[in-house]
Amino acid sequence: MRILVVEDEPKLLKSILEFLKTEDYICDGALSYREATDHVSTYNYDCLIVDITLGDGSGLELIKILKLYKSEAGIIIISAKDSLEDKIHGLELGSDDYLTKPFHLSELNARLRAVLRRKNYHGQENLKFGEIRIELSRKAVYLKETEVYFTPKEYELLLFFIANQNKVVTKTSIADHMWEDEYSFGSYDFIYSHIKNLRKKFEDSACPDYLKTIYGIGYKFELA
Amino acid sequence: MKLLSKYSGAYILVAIPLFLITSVVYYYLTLEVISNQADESLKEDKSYIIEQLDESDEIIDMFLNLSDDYHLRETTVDKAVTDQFSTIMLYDNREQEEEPYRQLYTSINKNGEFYELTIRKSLVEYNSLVYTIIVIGIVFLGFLTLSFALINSQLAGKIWKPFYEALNKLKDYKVETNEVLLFNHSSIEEFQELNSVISAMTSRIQRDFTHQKQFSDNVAHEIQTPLAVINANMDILIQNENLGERELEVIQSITDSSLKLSRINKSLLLLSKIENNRFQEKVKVDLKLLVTNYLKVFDDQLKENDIKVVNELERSFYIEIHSVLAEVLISNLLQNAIRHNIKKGVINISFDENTFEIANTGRKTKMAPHKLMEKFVKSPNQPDSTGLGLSIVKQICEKYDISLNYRIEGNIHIVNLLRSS
Repeated sequence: MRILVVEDEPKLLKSILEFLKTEDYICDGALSYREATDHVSTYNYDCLIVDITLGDGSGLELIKILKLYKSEAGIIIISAKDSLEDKIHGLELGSDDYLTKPFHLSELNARLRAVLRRKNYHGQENLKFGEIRIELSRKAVYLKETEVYFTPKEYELLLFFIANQNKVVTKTSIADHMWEDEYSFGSYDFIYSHIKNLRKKFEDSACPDYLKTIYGIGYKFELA
Repeated sequence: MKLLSKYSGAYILVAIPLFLITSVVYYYLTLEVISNQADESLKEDKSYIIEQLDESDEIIDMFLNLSDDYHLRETTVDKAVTDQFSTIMLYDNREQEEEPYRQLYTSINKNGEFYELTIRKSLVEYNSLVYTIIVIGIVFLGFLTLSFALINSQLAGKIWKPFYEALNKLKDYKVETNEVLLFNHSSIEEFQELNSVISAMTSRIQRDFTHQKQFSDNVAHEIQTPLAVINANMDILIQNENLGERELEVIQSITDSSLKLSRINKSLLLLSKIENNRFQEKVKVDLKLLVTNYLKVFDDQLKENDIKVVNELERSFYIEIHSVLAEVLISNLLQNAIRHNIKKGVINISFDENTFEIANTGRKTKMAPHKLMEKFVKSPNQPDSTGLGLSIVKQICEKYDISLNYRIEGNIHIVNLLRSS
C-alpha cells in the first residue's frame, strides 16, 4: 500500500515517515503543495496524510484536486487548527479523518489503518492476530475461535493494540485514544483496570498474553 | 462628591457669608447716610434760627415756644459750644411710646450773650424710610445672589456636558467590542483636547489589544507543530529495544511534560477563541442531556475513585449557548468535580428554577474560591492540573451572562450557575 504524507515541517515529516515505514507501507513524503501535486499526479495512493497549512498552499486545495480526479485515496487531515469549523470543513471536502496536532504516531497509525480498512474491505474484513480474530462488521471478538464478550472500551483498546502491533504504545497515547481530551486526570489507573480485564479474558480463553508491559512507559502488543 | 455640587457648594459657601456681611454693611451705611441727612437738616435749622435772630429780637420767644423741638435759653456758659449731635429716645404722648430723635446741642452768640440751643428732629419718618430702603436693598441683594447661583449651576452644567458625555462613553467602553471612541465637536478647547486624547488612546488600546489577541493566537498555533515534533520523536524513540529503565523514566517524564504543555496550549487556544468571539451562534442546550452524556464518558474515572454521583436532574435545564461551549462547560465542571474529589466521594448535581449546581466532596483548601478561577491558579494538591479549566468556565459564563458562583463549605465544593432569566 502506498501512502503520501504532506507536511511542511521537515522534522515532523521525517518522524511520521520513519514510524510508518516500519509497517508494510510504501511511504512518500512531500514538504510543499507543489511537491504533493507532483507526487499525486505520478502515483496512485491508497491514503494521504495532509497538513492543511502548507507554505505554498492549502492542504484543502489538494483534497479538492483529488476529489476532482475521483481519486479513491483515503485522506487524513493533520492540522494545528483545533476548531470545529475546520474539522467540519475538512470532512465536507471528503477527508476521512481529522487529527489535531500534536498527536501520537500510534494514534495516526490506528486512524490510518481504520481508513485503509474502510476503503479496501468496506468494513467486511476479519482482523487476525495470533489466536485473536475480530469480525469488524459485528464488532465480535473470537479468542481461539470462541466468541468472547468485550465491552466497547475493551474492544476499542484491543483494536488500538492490534493496529499498533509490535510497537511500544504509551499510556498517554492509550488514554488519548480512548478518552480523547477528556482524560486529563493525572492518573492512568483507569487504563490499568481495562488492561487487567483484557488479560483476564486472554487467560480465561487459554489465549497467550500478547500484551507486554514496558516499564514506566506503556505496552507492546506482540506475538510471544 | 459631584463636580457640580462641589462647585455649587463652594459658591454657596462664599455667597452666604458675603451676602450677610454686605447686608450688615449696607444696613449701617444706610443708617449713617440717613443720620448724616438728619444732621444736615438740623444744621440748616440752626443757621435759619441764627438768621432769624439777627433780624429781630422779639421773634425769639415767639418761635422758641412754638414747639417742643426747639429750646433756647440763656446760658451760664460764656463761651461758644461746638455742635454736638446725638440720638435720643423721648416719650411721645400721642403715640404713647418712646421714639427716636436726632438732637443738635449748640450755642448761639447774640449780641455778646450766649444762648443754649437744642434742636430735635423726630427720626420716625426717617426710620421707616431707612427700613424700606434696607429691606428693598437686601431683597435685591438676595435675589442677585440666588440668580447668580442659578445661572452658575446652569452654565456649569452646560459647560461640563462634554465632560460627562466623555465620562459615560468611557464607562461603557469595552475593549472587546473593537471600536474607537468618537465624540461630538466641543467649542471648549480643553474638552476638545480631552476628547481627542481619549480617541487617540482608545484607538491605541484597540490596536494593542488586537495585536495581543493575534499574538497569543499565533503563539498557540506555532507551538502546536514543535510539540507534534517532540511527541512524534518520542514515539519513535521508545520503539528502541535497547532502552534501560532509567532512559524510559526520562522519556516518560518528557512525554508527560510535553503532554501537559499541549494541554495548556489547547486550553489557551480555546480561551483566546472565546475571547475573540469565535463562537457566535446560540442554540438552546439542555444541560441535563449533556451531564448524562458526560457522566457516561467519565464512567471509568468515576469508578476508579469509587465516586458516587447523585443526579437529581429530572427535568431539562436549558441555556442559550454555543453548543461546543456548552460541552466544554459541562465537561470542565464534571472533570473538576471528579479530579478534585476524594476516594469514595460524592458528586451531587441538582438544579432549581434558574440555578444549576454541581457539588462535590473534596479536600479542604485555604485558597479563596474566586482565586481558583483565575488563569494558572491551581490547588497545591493538584500539580498536574493546567489551572485553566475553571478560567475557561468563567470565561464562558461571562460571555453568556451566566453568573458563576464557587464556594467551599468545609470539604464540599459547590459550583453554581445562575442563568439570567
